[in-house]
Amino acid sequence: MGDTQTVYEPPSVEEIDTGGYPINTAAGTQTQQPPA
Amino acid sequence: MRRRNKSFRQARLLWRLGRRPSRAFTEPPERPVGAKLEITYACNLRCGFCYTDSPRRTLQRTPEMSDDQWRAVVRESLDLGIIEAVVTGGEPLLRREITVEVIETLASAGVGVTLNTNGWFVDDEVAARLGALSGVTAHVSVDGARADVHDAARGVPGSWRRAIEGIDRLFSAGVGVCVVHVVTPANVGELGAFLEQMWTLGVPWVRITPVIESGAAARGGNWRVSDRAVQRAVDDFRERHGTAMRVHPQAARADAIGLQGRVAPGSYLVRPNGDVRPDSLRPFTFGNAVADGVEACWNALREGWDDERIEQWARAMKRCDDIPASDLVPYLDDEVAIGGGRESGSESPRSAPVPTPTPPKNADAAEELVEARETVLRLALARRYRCAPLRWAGSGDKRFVRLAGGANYLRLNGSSGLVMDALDGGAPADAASALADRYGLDPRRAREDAIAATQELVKHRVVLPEEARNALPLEPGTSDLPGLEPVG
Repeated sequence: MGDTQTVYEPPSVEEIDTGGYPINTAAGTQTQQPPA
Repeated sequence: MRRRNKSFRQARLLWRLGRRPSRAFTEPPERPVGAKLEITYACNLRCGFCYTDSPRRTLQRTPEMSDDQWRAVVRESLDLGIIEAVVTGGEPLLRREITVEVIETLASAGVGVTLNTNGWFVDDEVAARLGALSGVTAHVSVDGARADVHDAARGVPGSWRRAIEGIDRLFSAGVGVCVVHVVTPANVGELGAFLEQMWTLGVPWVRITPVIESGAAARGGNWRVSDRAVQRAVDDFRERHGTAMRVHPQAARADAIGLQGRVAPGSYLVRPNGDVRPDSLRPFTFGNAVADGVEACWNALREGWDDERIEQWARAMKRCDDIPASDLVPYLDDEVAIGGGRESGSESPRSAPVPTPTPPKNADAAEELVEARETVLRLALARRYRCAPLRWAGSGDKRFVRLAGGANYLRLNGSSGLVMDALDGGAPADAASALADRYGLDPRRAREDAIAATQELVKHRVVLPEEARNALPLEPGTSDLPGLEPVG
């Protein structure tokens, strides 16, 4: 087995409206920071 | 200044009352928006509700334009500036070479093209040639969740399987497929099962249409179904699957036909013999494309579309019964020449013989349904995909995807990311195995979720069929012409 993931969630695909802000993928969350 | 007669004033009033199709013109434009090209009268099927009465024409071997004459019509149509075309019949792929050539010519010039077909003659070569083009959609007729129901409606055994396999070939080649479902008392009870099957097969669009009682349908038969029953099945489907497959039910409203009979045409229809009509509703001709040229026909149509005879005919269409009861039924009776047209044969269309449908063998409904489901599931699980050009980042339980050339991001959860990886050169069957292995799902659940995830990934353009050369179209195109879909 590869990655350990015991809880199954049915597949989901969501469009993200970033509103022009960057996505903080490192935190795994969508952040809204003012553009530099 | 063009004379604006009573018809125009009525149409304008209807517009203000919100009772006109929103896309309609108030007067025919200088440059027509589209053309509907009926390549042939002939069809290999024998549908009792055929709105063009093709089975009768097939038996009569009604003469039609040559390939060179069709090439000229297409050239003239492009010169006129059309942006949309519907290539139809009869069954247009009975004249396979000229049909595909016409589509190639139009699509290469940037025209959006819809092919109306029963799917029977869609082989790998046809699918590949259409898939090589941009902006082409195929509208394929499927009338049942079971082969025996569809085959009974279509009058030829084997037609359900050919349609389903044709859809799979087209979609696998990257052609957008809209399934057109003619709903009747014989199939409305299984509409829910039918929608499930189309969803499993990966169809992006389904259009549900009532029988329009013109052509063969006007000879008699019980065609009407409750709009409410249709809407209930559609609502149930949306409750289960959301909008991954778009379902468009079209209500049965005869008054809409009468209403549209008073709407200025934005397009024209060329019959197989070259006669030019405003559309598939109004049985009036405005010259012949071979004898007069397409431009002259379009000008005649612009000048005479609101002729008193057309207005009187349209005004009489208030209820469903009025269409077959009319003295002038579209596609059943010979058209009336307003601005010219060719004389039809001497045989009266109403008394002309029609071919006898071949009934399917006696079948067990439950067994047929299981067999149909298995056929559809087998095709869906085996279809191979690849990822679109994209970049992704994130980790095992969450990833962010950015499609090349797009400004939007997508968020995929862990199981969806697993399916995406499996589909990059693989099939939903591989994705189901991956889900079962990773999460310990039972095979049936894994298959269902893999297919659902595939639909979502296709819808969001993350994956596309492996053989597709172009991105799948975003919209289904039209079976008819701009401004002419019945109000519903």
